Amino acid sequence: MNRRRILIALDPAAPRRDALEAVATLCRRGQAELTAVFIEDANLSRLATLPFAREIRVTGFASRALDSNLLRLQLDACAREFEQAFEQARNRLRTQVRFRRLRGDVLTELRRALADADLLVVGRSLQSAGLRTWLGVAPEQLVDAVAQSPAPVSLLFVDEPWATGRSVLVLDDGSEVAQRAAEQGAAIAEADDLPLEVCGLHISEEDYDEPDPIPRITDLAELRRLCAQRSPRLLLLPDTPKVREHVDLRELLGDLPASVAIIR
Amino acid sequence: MIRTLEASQVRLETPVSLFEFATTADLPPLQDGIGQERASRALRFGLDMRASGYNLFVLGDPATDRRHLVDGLVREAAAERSSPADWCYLNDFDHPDRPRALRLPAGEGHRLARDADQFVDDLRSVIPSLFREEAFQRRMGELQQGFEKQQKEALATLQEEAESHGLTLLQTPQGFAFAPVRDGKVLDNDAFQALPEEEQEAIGKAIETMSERLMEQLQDLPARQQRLVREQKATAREFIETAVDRLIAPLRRRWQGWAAIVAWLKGVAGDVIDNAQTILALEHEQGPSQGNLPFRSPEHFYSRYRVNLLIDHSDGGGAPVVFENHPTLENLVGRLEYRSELGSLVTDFTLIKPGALHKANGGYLVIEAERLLSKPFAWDALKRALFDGEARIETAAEYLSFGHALSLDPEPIKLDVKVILLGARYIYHLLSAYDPDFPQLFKVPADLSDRVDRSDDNALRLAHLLGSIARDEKLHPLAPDAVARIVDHSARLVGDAEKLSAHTRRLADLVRESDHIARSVDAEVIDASHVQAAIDAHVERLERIRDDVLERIVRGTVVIATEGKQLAQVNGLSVLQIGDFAFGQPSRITATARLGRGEIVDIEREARLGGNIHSKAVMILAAFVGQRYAPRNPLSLHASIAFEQSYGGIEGDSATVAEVCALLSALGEVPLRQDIAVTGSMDQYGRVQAIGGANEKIEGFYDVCVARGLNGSQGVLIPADNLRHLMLRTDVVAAIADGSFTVWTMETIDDALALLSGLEAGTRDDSGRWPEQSFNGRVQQRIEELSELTRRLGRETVVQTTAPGEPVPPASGPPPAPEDNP
Repeated sequence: MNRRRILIALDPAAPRRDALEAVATLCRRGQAELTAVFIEDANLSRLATLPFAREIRVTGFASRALDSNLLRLQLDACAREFEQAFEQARNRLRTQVRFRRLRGDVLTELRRALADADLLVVGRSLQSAGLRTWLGVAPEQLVDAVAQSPAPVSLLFVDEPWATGRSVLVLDDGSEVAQRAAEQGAAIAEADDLPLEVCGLHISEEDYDEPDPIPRITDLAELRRLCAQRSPRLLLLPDTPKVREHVDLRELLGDLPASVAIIR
Repeated sequence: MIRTLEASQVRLETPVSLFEFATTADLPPLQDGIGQERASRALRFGLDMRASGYNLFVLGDPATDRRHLVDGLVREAAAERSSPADWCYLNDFDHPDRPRALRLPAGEGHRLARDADQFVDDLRSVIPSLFREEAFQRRMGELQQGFEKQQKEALATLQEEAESHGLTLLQTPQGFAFAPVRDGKVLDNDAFQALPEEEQEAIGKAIETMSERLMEQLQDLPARQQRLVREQKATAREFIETAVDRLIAPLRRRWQGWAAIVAWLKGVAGDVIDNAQTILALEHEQGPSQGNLPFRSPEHFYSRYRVNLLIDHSDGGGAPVVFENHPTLENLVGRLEYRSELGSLVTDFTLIKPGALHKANGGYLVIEAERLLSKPFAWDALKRALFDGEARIETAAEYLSFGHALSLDPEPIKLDVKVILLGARYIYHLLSAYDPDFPQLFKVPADLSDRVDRSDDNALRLAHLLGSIARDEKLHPLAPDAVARIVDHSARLVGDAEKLSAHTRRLADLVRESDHIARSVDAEVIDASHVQAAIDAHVERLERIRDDVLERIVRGTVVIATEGKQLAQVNGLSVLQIGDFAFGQPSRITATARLGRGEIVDIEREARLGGNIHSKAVMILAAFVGQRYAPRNPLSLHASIAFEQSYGGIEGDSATVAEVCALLSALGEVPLRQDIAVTGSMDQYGRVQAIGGANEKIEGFYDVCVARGLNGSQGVLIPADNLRHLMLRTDVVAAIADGSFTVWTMETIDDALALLSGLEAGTRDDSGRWPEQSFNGRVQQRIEELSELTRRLGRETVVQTTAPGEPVPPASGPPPAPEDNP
């Protein structure tokens, strides 16, 4: 996954630190250009102008009035915190880091930003028991967004904590994209000193020439079980029709206890 | 009767032909000691006695081979006994501060420890793999998915309901908010104000209602999460219980006859189940991160399931024999070790270390008494262990009842041990006198002799011992002539031609030093010349003071005549002991006699320089003179006896003969030979008795004579009973052989008087009188003259009759003034 242009999309609720750790691993293999975008949802800004706008906080479950000033303070604080974190990351990663603050419709702004990226990295929080999504955008919407970008853009969902798991697992469907996924998986495995494991899609018995050396899956349930057994740090899936035929990516992204990279 | 000794009588040399071996390398090791039959019998008795309190105290000089003797006999006894039990400490899961002691047949402890280690290994793989098992994952996934599904459905319901009111659910930086939406866009304030008032009001109410619903949802979330966690834990516990039971069941079957082990396994199973999450974390799986665990390493955690095999007798080999050379309290009763954890010192049952009592349990423990008694609390701890019959691990702080950090209280271990103390005689007698516990606990004394008979058998045994020393210490072997020379030296060490020294440590040193000399000349075997060179070198290192004494005599600072005759003056002989080196020196003994009331003054005693034995000898001397020369009349005599130029203490009775001769010379006015030195004790009837240090005394006078030049008449007069003690130096023997020096023996005081004066001592006739010209006759006459004087002059008259040292023609002149006082 030695992409040159990495876009990391920031969400106040998403785990920034783990996404950065993942990016550090990706940057270890070579020079990369890192762009961090912080998108302020225009819907939120409009809501804050309403007289009765209220925010119900996840922590403490308290309700309080939300106005433009409060929202501005919150967003500024988030943006400043992110910017500082990336400033520090600039020295550590020894790569070019750019911080951009955008405002508008989240998906629209993200699609624009993707025009200059090869990889989108998104932090995924498990803290709120599945209630929250990235900037209010469901994972499947993100998958669709990157799928619609003119150039192939891969997508990496970083689970927290990043530095768990015992291997890097690649689903190989025999495609060229899968080959790339395997190469990128091998690079990450080497950088993090983890074994690279490969699984495949189920094939008919006639296709076997000799005992099959890799586990094979037929559907999402089997992929989940395999992940439970192997506890991978990262699962790399080629986004190909063949894979989509066996695995519903939208459903997979709902609750997979590992970070997932969808490679295009 | 005076006897002149032949050279063959003054040194008994061991014939080399006695030893029929090429070198000592051919000899097997010596099992028993040399000539210590009584001590050996006592040791065997004590080792065999099974009743309590029959521990042993081996009395003997440290220089004896007491340790070697004890080692041989104890190992012999140990080999006849079966290996004792193994002892283990196990964790008590209910009371971790009180580890349980477990006794198992020899070898079973090792098996149990191995089983426990295998269990831990299995556990470390089974628990993590259990959590990876498909069935477990499926069950846990079902629980998690059920929870999340419930959440999503609730949220979706809220979202749907919100949409029915024209609202949408937005994520804010810190939570959620409902917003009115039209055509996919949230209304801003301007658009909202443009709405009809009723619609604005409806939207406001809807938002309020939906917010309350969402609040309710969120507030219920923690309880639902806790429920999920409980369900997950219960599920995990079910899986863990099954897995642990699969691991424990074979062990339970194997150790089913041991109730204590079965109970312990039950505790292990319960603890594993309770700590499954910790195990998982330690094995880098899910669960709390290892950094938060109170353990530095997984090994620390898993040690609770292991067995501390304190004492392992799996290798068999009979009862243990332990020589504890550093018998501190800890080394004796065991100790608790500590390790540093997160800045604190902590311990557990695996850090219980055995002491000598544990190691020797079921066997024998040998300790040097001096070392034991010099270590704080060690003697008390040993007595307590023997009285209680158990080994309890206690620190010095506990003995002193000092406060100490929270620690362990391991269950005591039952003791069945035979303790053998090695010590000097005085320690045995002190303990017997002052420690009432001692006689109860150490009922068997084994008293080692300091000297043994010089039999051929013992000489051969000594050869075996020397061979063992050489072999054990990788020294060159000894040739037969070297062994013979060492046997002779051993006899000389005890000053007895018919005995050998039991102080084998000195002989071992001699072997080492001989080996050093042999190697310096590239010899492969130690021979007699190497041994002699080692002896000479040893003497040379120690003889500085002897040389000083000799030099003072030769230079005349200390006046010792070695020729001519003197009145009332005799060369006595004494021995100086410096460390393990002794040498003889002559002393000038003089006497005066004058009219008096029967007093014989011991000047040494008057000056408080004489010891009790010497004073007693002078009293015997007085009694002898009185009963022999004035049996029916008062002894009208005042005499004094002194050791001239003696500035230290005088002790012993070996100068009695010389003192009597000096006194009688003074009385009889008979000059005595100064080329003869005299040594001997005497009884009240003039019978001469043996003295100590005969060899050193003879050699001491010989050295003075040699320094001045031997004239052929010089020699030493010794008691006849000392003949058997003679083991003179070879140079003295050679001088005797060529007639340049003489050793005589005497049986009575008359023998000495005759030899020293050249006069007949005389034989008393029926009337009780001696011949007039005999020595005794002249003394008798002089005493009678003094009696007559007393009668004539009265008691107050005092007449000096004889001056000591007065030369008899040819006169030797006055003694030179001393250069300095020694």
